[in-house]
Amino acid sequence: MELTLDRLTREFGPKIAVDRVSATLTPGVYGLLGANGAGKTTLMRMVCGVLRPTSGEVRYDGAPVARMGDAYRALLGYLPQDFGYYPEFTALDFMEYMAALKGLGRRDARDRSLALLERVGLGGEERRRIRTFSGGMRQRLGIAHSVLNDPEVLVLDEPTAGLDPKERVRFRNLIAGFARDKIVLLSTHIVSDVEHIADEILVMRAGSVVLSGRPEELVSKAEGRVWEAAVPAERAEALEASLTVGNVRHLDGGRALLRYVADEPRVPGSAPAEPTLEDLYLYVFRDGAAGAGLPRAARGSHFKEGRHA
Amino acid sequence: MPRLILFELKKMLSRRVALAANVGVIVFLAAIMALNVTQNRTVNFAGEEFNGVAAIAYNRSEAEKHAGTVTAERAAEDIAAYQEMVFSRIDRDAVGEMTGAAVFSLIEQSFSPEEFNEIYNSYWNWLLRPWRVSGEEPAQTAARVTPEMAADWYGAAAGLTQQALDDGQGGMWEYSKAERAYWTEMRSSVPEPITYGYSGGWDNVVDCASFLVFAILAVCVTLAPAFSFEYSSGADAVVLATRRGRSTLVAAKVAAGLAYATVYFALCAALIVGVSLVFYGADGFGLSIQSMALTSPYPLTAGQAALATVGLMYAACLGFSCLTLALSSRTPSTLAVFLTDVALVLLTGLVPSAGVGVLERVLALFPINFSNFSMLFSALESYPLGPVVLDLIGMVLLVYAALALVSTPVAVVSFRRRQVA
Repeated sequence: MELTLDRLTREFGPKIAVDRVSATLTPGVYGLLGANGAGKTTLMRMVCGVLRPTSGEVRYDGAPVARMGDAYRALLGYLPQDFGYYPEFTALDFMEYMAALKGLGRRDARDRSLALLERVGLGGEERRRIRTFSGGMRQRLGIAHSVLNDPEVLVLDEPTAGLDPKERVRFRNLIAGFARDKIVLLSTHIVSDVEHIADEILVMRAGSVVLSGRPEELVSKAEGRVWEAAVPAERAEALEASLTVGNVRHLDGGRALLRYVADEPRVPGSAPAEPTLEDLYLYVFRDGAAGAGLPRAARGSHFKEGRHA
Repeated sequence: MPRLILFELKKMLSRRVALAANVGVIVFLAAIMALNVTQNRTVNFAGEEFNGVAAIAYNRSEAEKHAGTVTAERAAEDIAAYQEMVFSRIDRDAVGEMTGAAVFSLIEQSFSPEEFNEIYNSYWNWLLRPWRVSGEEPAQTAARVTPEMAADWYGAAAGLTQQALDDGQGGMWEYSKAERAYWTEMRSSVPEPITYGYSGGWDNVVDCASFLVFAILAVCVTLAPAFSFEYSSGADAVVLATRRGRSTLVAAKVAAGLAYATVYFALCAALIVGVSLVFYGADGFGLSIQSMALTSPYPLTAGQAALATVGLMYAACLGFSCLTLALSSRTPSTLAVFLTDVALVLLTGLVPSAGVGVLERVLALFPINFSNFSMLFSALESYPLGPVVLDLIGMVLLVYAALALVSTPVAVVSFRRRQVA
C-alpha cells in the first residue's frame, strides 16, 4: 500500500496554491502542518480526487488515481474541512446514505453505521437530526462516516477545527484508533493535534512542503534556535513585535520570561531552551504565512522532499 | 441505486421550503378547484339564478337540449327552425340595420322569458358561428343566412379555417403555402358529422389546466437545490470522494428528480381532473372538439383535447425538471435557479407579443401560454421548420423533449466533472 504524490501542482489563475509537492506515503499517520492558506486543503482535495491537479498526479500502488476512478474512491475515506451535511437527515440517515454511496450493502450499512456511531460517542443519538448537533458531534459524525468503508487511505482536513480542548483530545484518540494499517493524512494548523499521533509530519508553506520527517527529527532541526530570556515586563510587549515569540510568562518582580525562536540570541542574557514541535513550527513560519499563493516568478525556492523519495 | 434514489427523494422532500411549496400548491389547487365548483353562477334569461352544482346542472340541461349528431341536414333544419322562431315576431330585414344591443332589447320585449331563454341557448350561437361577425347577436347572423348557405353548413364551418389563414392572426403572421396546406388538411380530417352536447367536465379540465403551472413551479422549487445545495453546503466534497459519488449518484439524482416530478404532477393533475369530472361530469368524452369550438381544425374529441392539454403540461413539467437540474448542477445558488424557473414558467405569461408573429410563437411554447384552449386548439399556431410544419402541440413536445435531452446530460456531466475548489 503506497500513495505517491508526484509533483502535484494546482494553480488558480495566477495564484499557485500547491507547488510541485512530491511525497510517498505508506501506512502510518501523516500530519500536514501549515498556516491557513498554506495549501493543505488544496493538496488534500487533489489527493481525494475532488480537485484536478494543474499538473502532476497521485498514484496508488503505481496506478494513477485519475484512471482508477471509482476503484480508488472505494479505498478512500475523506473528511473535508467544514464538511457539508443534510440538516434534515438524522445521524443514521446520513451514515446509511454515505454507506450507500460507498457501495455497502443494506444490512452491512446499518450494522457498521450503528457500531461506528457508538464508537464515536454518538450511540443513542442516531435518530437525532444533524442540525441539532453541536460542532463536536458533527465532527465525530464526520470521522464516523469517513471510515465507514474501512478505507485504506484516510484523509482528514482540519478535523479538530472549532473543537474545544477536551473534544480535540478525544478526536486524536479516535483517529489513532482508526489509523492502524491505513495511510492517514491529517491536516491541521494546531501543532499539538499531530505531535503525539503522527508518525511523520509534513510542513507546508506557500504551497510547498518545506520540511518533513519524524516529529523528533523535525524537533532536532530547531535545536540551538530556541531561546529564553528574562526581561522587564514592559519590554516584553515590544520584543513580541520584533521577535518570533512562542511564549511570555510573567514572573514576580515585574519581569517576564520570553521564549523565542531565532538563529542567534537576540536578547541579552538569552539561554538556549529545549525545542518542541511548536518551536519548530514557529521557526518555519517566523516570517508569517504571507507567501501562500505566490505568483509564478517567486516559485521554486522551497525545500521539497518526500519521506521516501 | 434504488437506495440512493430513496435517499435523494428524502433529501429533496425533507427540506422545509420544498415541503411548504409542495403542500402549499396542493392546498392552493384544492382551494381553487373548490371555488371553481362553488363559485359557478348562471342566470337564465328568466332571471333565475343558479349557483354551484345547480349552475353546473343547469348548464348541462341547456346543452343537452340540443345534444346529438349534427348532420348537414339537421344543421339546415335547425337554422331554418331558429329563423322561423325568431323572425315570426320581429322583422328579419330590420335586425340587420340595428345594433346588437337594440336587437337584444327587441327580442326581450317580443318573446316570453322561456322563448327568450331558448333563443339565447348557446347552441344557436355555435350553429351560426360560420357566418357570425364579431359582436353580432345570433338573430342578426341568422337574418343573413339563406337556405343555400345553411345547406352547406359543413362547408361554411371548414371555411372558418380558411378565413383564419387569410386573416393571418390579424395580420401578425403570414402563413406559408406549406402551413396553409397543413391546416387545410387537418381541417379536412375532422370526422363528420360533428357531435354536439355537454362535455362540461372535459371543458373544465382544459380551462383549469393552466393552474398546473403552479405544480411545475413546486417541482422547480424542490429540484433547484438538487446539486446546488451540495455545492453551497460543501457536501459535494464528501459525496464526490465516494465510490459512487461520480457515477451512480448523479443517475440517482436525476431518476429521483424525474420520479418525484411525475408523481407530484400526477397528484396535481388528478386533483384538477378528478374535481372536474366528479362535479361537472365525465360524459362527453367522445364529443367532437368542434362542439367546444367550431373553429378548431383538430380531429379530436373533447376528452382527448383535455388529456392532450394535461399531457403537454406534463411534458413541460419534465422539461423544466431537467432544465432545473441542469441549472442546479452549474451554480451553487439555489435562488438563482429558482428565479430563472419563475421567469420562464410564470413571467412569460406577462410578456406581450406586441403583434410580432415570431414572438407570439416563442411565447406560445411556455406552459402558462399554451395551456389554454384557444391557443392550443384554435389559434392555428404553426411552426414552419424547412419543409416540415409543426403545430403548437408538436412543437411543445419537440421543444420539451429537446430540453430534457440536452439538460439531463448537462446535469450529469457538470456534476461528474465538478471540481471542489
